[in-house]
Amino acid sequence: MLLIVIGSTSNKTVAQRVTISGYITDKASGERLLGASILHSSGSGTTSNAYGFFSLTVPANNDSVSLLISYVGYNTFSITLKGNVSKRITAVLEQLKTLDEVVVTGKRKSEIHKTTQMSTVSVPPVFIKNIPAFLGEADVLKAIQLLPGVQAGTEGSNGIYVRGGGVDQNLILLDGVPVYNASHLFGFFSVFNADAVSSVDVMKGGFPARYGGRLSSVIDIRMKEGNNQEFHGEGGIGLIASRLTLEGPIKKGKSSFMISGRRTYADLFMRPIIRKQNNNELDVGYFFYDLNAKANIFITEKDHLYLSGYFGNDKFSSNENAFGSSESGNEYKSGIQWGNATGVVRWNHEFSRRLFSNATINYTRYKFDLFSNERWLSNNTTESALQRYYSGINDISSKIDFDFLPTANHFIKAGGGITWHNYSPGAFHSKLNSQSYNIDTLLKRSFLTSHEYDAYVEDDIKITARLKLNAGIHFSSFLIQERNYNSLQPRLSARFLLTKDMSIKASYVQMTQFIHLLTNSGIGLPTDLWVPATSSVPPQYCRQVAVGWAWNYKNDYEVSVEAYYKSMKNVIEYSEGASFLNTFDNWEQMVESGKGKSYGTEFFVQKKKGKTNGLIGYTLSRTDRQFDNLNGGKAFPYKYDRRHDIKLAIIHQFNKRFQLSADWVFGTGVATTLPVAVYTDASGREIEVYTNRNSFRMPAYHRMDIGLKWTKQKKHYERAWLVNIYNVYNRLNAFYIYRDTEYDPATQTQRNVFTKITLFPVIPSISYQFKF
Amino acid sequence: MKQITAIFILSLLFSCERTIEINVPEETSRLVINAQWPQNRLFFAYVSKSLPVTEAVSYSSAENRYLVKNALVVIKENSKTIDTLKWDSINVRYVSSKKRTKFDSSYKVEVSAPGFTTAYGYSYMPAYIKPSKIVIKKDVRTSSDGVLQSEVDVTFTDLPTTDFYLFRFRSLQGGFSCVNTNDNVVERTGLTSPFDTDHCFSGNKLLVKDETFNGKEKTIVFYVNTYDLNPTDDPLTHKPVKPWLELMHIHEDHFNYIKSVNLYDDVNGNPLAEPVNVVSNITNGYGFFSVYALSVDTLRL
Repeated sequence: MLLIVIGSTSNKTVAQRVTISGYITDKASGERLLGASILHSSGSGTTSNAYGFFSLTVPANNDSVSLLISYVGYNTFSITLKGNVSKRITAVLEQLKTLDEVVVTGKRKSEIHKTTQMSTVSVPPVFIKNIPAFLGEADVLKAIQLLPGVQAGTEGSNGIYVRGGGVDQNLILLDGVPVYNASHLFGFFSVFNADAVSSVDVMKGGFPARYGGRLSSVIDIRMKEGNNQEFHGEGGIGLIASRLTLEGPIKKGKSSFMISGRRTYADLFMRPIIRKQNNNELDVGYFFYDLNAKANIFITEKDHLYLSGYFGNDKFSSNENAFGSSESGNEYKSGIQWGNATGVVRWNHEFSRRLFSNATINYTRYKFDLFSNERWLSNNTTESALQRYYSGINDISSKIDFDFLPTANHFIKAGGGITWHNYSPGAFHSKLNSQSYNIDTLLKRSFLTSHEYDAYVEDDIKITARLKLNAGIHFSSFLIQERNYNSLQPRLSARFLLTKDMSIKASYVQMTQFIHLLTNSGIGLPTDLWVPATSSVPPQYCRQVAVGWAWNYKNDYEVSVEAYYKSMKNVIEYSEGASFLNTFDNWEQMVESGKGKSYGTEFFVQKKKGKTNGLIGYTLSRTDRQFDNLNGGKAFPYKYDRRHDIKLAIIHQFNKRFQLSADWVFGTGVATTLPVAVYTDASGREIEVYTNRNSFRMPAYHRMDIGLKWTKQKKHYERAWLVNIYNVYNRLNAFYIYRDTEYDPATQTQRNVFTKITLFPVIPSISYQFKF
Repeated sequence: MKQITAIFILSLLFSCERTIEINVPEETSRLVINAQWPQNRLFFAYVSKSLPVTEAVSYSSAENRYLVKNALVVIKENSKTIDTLKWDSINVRYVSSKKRTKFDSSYKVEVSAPGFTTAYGYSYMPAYIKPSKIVIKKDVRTSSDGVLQSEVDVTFTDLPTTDFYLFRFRSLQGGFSCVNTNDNVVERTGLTSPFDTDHCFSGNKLLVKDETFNGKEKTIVFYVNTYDLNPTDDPLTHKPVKPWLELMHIHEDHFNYIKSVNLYDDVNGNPLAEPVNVVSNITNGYGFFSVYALSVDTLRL
């Protein structure tokens, strides 16, 4: 550990108090450390905020101020600042040297039992990269699915269902910017490149007032800032994708950059094969790519500017060319393309030792585009027909946040912002160019804009040495179609220390969501449409209360037990029979608005240090929905209701070179609706009879994955070979179930049977990683 | 490396199918009645039975496994028994030889068969409503596919009660291939294709309820492909037969039944969509029974 006082200024104390403020940074990279603990000898303390800034105001009792600064994974150090005066410092911490017997899976924020906030888990990027990866691609959202209270959707997908909430109820933030569709390849991979990620925080409840806009979770993903001390890089080559991340100083110690890219290349292998098989008349390909970039610049000692962006796309294309001669033939091109783009400019400014601000302007866009273009020769003239459907959403937002730390017993956050939403749930473009007709039509449907205003204030209050509260209020206002929805959402969390390493917690939150996702697939199809609350489809509301117990055992194990109850209003579901295939018109008439409730208990043990680390999670829960016009008005289980959900993940470092990891998940089967009887109508067509919605269960889901990693330190770089086996014991989990007919020659009978479709049997993969 | 790539590609391209056992509650077999009668039509009823979803049947009887040929089908008109239908093996249904439906009457169809609980359904004949005016304007626009379309304006007077209608544009070849309307009184079900820029409704599925024009005169503007308005040769008489418009005044449960059948068809075969229960109004059984008032008008170009 190294602590350097880079700069200090002094002021005469006011009312016999001194304020020590400044930043905590990592020595090796120069990146700021968020959530570091700063403790005064009197027992007062604080933590660094999301940008590494801290401020601690303490009584000026002696001639010096002693501080203890700690951050898990880094050496702890105490410092005494001479003179009874306020000071501004920059603390540069050095990471623990990794010993064979001590492995720390990443940086960690304050100990679980000390924070007021509950239902929150930090997922270290190292953990994300070390657990077994599907087809060798480390995936942020799949790692989050290993947490208790977080259910995965269908087989292989990265859908996130938190505490009985829907997939649309998660606020997924990348550097503070919402990402609307976090899926690649129809939901099998997330858009977040693990190499570019610096921290991942998952909040399932007890949301502080600064967050709003979604009911069930906040997933706050921060990109790396970039090393401002020296140039580094890392990358990987896998079976389906390769990636490369570069970071380094622009001006040493003053500014840095990080750029990271990833692309799949199945299309490069498959295109020539398909072409050859089809006499060069058919060209089919699919790929996705991501690009993350970030730059951060220290303008002055008190001003810091960040620029970051993300751009990613999935593209499927098919080109059928049968122009056989100059007189006849046709060409048919079709494709689907979808992707996100985000951009943010962030300015941190330190007004005083106790007041810090963060101003941001950001942009986010999700776009889906489906097209077909046909060209044909007719009487030696080329004619063509184009049809295109596209939809999307884009937001422009500006906000400002303030952190004010008047005394050691208060940490006040306040701020506000405005967002301009532009929704385009669907537009058709049709163009016909023939000898008879020349038509160019654009049919815009339901293009909507809305304004959303937010303001909040919260205070983390230390009432006694044992009791701490986080009280706040979030106000939001949503203006659409001359309708104005206002919502005042109180938030309250409390922590009471039972012992120095054990606490009990409780929280109550109200949340409002002004956006809905039209989906009945639940697998993150690009056709899923984001639509706003309107005058006929009101916003979603939720109340959640949670109580919990947290124990930090010997700084090695974090143990928590939490129980929650959540009620939701105005959640939407497709009307009976409506599907994503007919949502392009009058979507408001195709949805039902109803209620939901969810309750359960989560047990969680996490070990972040040592040669063996990992987590164990168990959730016992129940969640259902009730709609006046569905299931005869009776409540029914939510599709992703899981009575039991078990997650195990373990990473064992045998030595510096060899690591073994494994995870095992078990979940009660997905709720589904199946027929109980069949009859025929007047035309002889078979009609199936269903009883209650979602009254059956698919077989229980379980799966084990294994990962092996061999690392070798070379002269100028480190390389690793990774072997991953997904679904190692080849469990054939059901993706969906359908009714089929089975013939039995022995008894000369036939009968209906249920057949399950499984997507992924055992899948081995190998990949190569390097770091320098 | 080649082998690994091959394994990967095969894994991606081929998912697995496996039959599984799911405990479905024992559902007893029930009688099924399907009968919808317009006015002045001989009574008939399709009678069959439902089967538990996983019940095994022999190959030899598989084709007729739903049939019930030994049922007693009794028709009551205004609470009085007026007919017992006979089995018609050619049309595979029960029919009346002489009795027809009448206006201002209520009907009950009651079916019993050995081994089944008696099933029945009620309905009453709604009022007769006929278009007061049908105006056809030829070739008023062109669809995005370049097909000429004509406008068909249908005017009728709604009753002060809550009423439901089914419009059907028909020819000897069946329903019209494409019917458009911008009028929101027409239910948005039965769209032929979500990617169809012309927003075609099937000519057989135009459901209307009178929420916005209760008790008033109403004109609905439809657009149809002009070629659908041309007469079709009757294959028997070889005489041209003009297309026609059927306006059916139906009950709310009939409206919901047709809607549910449309939705059932829409999602059939889509494993990701929520399944649909087809509406039934048969007590102790399944199926649907209703009477309706039908008016038919020839469409003259």
